[in-house]
Amino acid sequence: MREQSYLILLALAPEPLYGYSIITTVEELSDGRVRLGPGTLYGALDRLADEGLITRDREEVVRGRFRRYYCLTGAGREALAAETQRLTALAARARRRLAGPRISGSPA
Amino acid sequence: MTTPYERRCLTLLRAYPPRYRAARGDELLGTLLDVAMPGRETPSIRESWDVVRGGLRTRWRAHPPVGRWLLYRGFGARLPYAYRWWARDDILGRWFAVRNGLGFFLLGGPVLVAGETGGTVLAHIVDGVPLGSNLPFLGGGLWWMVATIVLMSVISTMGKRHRALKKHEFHPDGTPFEAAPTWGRPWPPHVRQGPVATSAYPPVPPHAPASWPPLVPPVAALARRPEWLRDDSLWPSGPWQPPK
Repeated sequence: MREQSYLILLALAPEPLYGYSIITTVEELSDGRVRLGPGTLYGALDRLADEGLITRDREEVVRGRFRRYYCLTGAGREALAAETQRLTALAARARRRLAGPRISGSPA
Repeated sequence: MTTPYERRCLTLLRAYPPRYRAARGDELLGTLLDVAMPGRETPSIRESWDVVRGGLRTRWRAHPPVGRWLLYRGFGARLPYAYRWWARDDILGRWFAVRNGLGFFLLGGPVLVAGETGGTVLAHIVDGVPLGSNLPFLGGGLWWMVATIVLMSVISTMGKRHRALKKHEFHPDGTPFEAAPTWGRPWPPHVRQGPVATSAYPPVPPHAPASWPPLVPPVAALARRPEWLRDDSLWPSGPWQPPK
């Protein structure tokens, strides 16, 4: 799973969010490293919807601006859990390797 | 009243296909206004590029395969059902007549020339007719051939909008047959009465999925005519999310 998709799914895990709130949550989750533009966001949302990982939750108009909220589907939650487990296992392996003794390279 | 920022956003959103704008335009515009930096009169170059790139990618995803597109553009062939909404946008687009005429000129014209040449060569082989005796472009009649092709391009365009829409199962106003089967061939075939759509987009069907309208508007990837066509009761009235 692409990092962008993972972060969007992660943002939607606790509650349904709309476009701008997804952008800010993803930015916050990635410590400001990933800042989605609206075009990128909606492309990613379309892909995730195609894959059945997210769905529409509700719509509302706030200060004249239309907002559509998205939420995770069951499949989306499962995919998020599986990816998190994979990343956790990878991080554990990385920690073990980093903690192990360093073997110097053979002399040329 | 729209602000200059909003007007600029609306201009940028034209990068998306019309049917996408119809379904998601308000939402995209709202998000663009939400991310706007206070005091700015236009979106930043980064944001602008992001929107344009997203729109072009969406258009690319919805575009029919090159082979099918060439047949459609050059010879008016019907596109596969999955791309009928792309065809609808194209046919209802502002420069359809020009695109259609040019397509016929560039794609159909060479086929006519090739046919004429082939016929002459065949006549030469079979009956010994001298080559070039009746090839218009070898005998100095190239402009006549071009004029003929241009004329045929214009003729091929006349009244084609309605025919092309009908071919792709749309009413002249762009309403799909399945939403308002009151003109042309009804869809499903045996249904004679049905709801008359008041807009170009179909009403919510009674058994719509939870995510209606679908997150992905009719980019067509999902819109395929089912093979089990005979059982019309299984076919929903909306074209965007037919059953899998």
